[in-house]
Amino acid sequence: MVTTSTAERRAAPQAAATVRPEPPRPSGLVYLGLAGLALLAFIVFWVIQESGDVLLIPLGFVTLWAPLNPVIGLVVMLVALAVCFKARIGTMAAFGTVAFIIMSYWAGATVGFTLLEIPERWSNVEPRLIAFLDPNWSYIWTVRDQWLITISMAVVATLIGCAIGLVLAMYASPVSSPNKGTSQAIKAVNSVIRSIPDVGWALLFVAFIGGTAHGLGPMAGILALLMFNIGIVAKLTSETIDSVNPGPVEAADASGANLTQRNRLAILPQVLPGFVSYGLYVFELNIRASAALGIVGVGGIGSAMMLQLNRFQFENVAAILIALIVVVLLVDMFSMYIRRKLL
Amino acid sequence: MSTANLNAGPGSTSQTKPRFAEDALDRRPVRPSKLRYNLGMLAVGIIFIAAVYGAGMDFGALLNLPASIIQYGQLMAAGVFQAPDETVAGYWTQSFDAMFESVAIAWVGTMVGALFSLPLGFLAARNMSPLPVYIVVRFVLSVIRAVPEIIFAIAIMLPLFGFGSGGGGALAGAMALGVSSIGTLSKLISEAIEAVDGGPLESSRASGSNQMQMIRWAVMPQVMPEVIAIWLYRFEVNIRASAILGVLGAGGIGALLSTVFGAREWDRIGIVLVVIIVVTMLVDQISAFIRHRVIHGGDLRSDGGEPQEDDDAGPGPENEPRVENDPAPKENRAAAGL
Repeated sequence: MVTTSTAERRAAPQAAATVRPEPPRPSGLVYLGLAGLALLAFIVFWVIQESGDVLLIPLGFVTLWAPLNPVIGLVVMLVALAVCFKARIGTMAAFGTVAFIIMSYWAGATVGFTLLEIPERWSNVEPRLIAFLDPNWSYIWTVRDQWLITISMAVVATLIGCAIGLVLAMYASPVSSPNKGTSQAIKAVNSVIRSIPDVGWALLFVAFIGGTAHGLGPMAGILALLMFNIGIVAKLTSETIDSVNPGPVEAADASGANLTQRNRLAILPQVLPGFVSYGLYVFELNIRASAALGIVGVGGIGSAMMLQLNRFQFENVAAILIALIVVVLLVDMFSMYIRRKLL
Repeated sequence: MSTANLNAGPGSTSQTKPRFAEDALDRRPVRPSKLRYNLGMLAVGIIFIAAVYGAGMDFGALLNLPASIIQYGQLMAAGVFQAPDETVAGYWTQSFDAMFESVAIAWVGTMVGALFSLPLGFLAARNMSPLPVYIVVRFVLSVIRAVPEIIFAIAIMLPLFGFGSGGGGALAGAMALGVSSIGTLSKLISEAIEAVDGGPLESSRASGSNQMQMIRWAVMPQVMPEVIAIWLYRFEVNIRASAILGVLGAGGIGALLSTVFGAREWDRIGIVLVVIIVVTMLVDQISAFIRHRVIHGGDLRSDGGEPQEDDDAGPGPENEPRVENDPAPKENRAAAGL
């Protein structure tokens, strides 16, 4: 409806005395090509589809049939294209729209998106939800050692990770690195580090040095969080260094500072506020992550939670989760306080 | 003689008093006290040492770490570079399938989050909604943000949709990611809406538009590029987050990771890691390109690609931190008292 009103508004000025500029008519050929793309996607959907739903089209003398879901997808794509053409939307944006629909269809088909099963499966959820609403309060205090380990892991990983991340960021940003090659290389290494998810690092280090079963969970957890933090801090800080005020840097160069002196005295003071707030942000992430990583056998509160989960004691899990929410909120408030004090 | 002394400037070697009494301008700048800084560093150091003890780290484990990294690294490299016969090709296909499933989970999760985040973002923007609504929505959003996504997965989604890759686990993971995305997405979107330029708002109000028309014609065109960038950024985050849900039974790359690590098949682990790195970096690149294109290269509703072609060439990292760093917006949460 939005687009029709667009068309109306664009049509209206033509009647008026002054002809207002209007958006150029998009190329029909490109739109035809996009329709072809939609058709191609339809064929691909047809080939990969798994559900057997079939749309029957009785024509009297013959009954045509087509797979239901891909036809819906095709219709949606063609309607979207028609609407885009009518509203004189540029070809690039129209391509984006079609690509978005294709991507969504593919993703929905891959995860088997359906909400129809919710009512009949609701009985599975009810006992858990009841347990979660009635947590075992007395259990909260019995896992305080695990909480201590979780928070300690987060602190150690944050401090070391920020230190390493700062050094890497200095080398990664072209403003502060010795030469362009170094900066490109460090950036590549950093994006590899960042692309492995935290749970991947945790599994790797648990496999390298042994997990909770060997009493080495915290060490593996800290190393995993460390890699996770280095990636984030180095990326954010190097972007901050990129946009640093060049004045002090030039002044340092002019007065004959070497690279270390320049970075220390001209760049570091400028990026320090951002760096501290990234550190606090990473600390929050670490608390959440170390709770989650306990699942794969690094120590801390996650291990305790996994244990209770495997015993189907949802009251205890609920107690841990509620404590987790409270701790995350507290850490949030703490870091907000620090940030306001320091910056 | 006395006259000369009286006229002596600050640089004079004369011992007599200067003409003016000393004031703040004559004093040398005092070196600022470093006491607080030193105390702060000391506190950080003490906390660090306490945390090292508290975590119960075993430093003996570090001694063996380089050796095992080299040993297992060689095994993984051997796995990646072995000749792709039928079994190995199967491993690669399986890894890519799992990774694409993760991407699909993240996409559906982002869509679910995006669907709810736009209206909630408007309700949580101070300049768009009345105070009571604003306070309630902000509070709900901050509660959602405080709950990690594994909680949604364990408590609601996994029992609701089923476990495992085939049994609805993927959908469960997507829904858990979607619900937990709502908090961050709505918050970032509401901040984008609050930062909107007031001029178009005023002129649309002056020309008699109602609230919906104002949102459609004055607010949406301004915030839409940023909103799309925020959604894409969350999509990248969700790909990484889906891994941990997979370990819990939500399908995708996480399930495969925990299987291969459980069996300690290092050649397969190497293959899976390479697939993760390749696909994640690819998606990040595409998403960064689209974000840059949406924010810089002409807006969505006009085919403005050609005139602005030159600013696609720029490095353009300036715009990234705004979208990428969640820390900055937190000050606003402080201001809102939430």
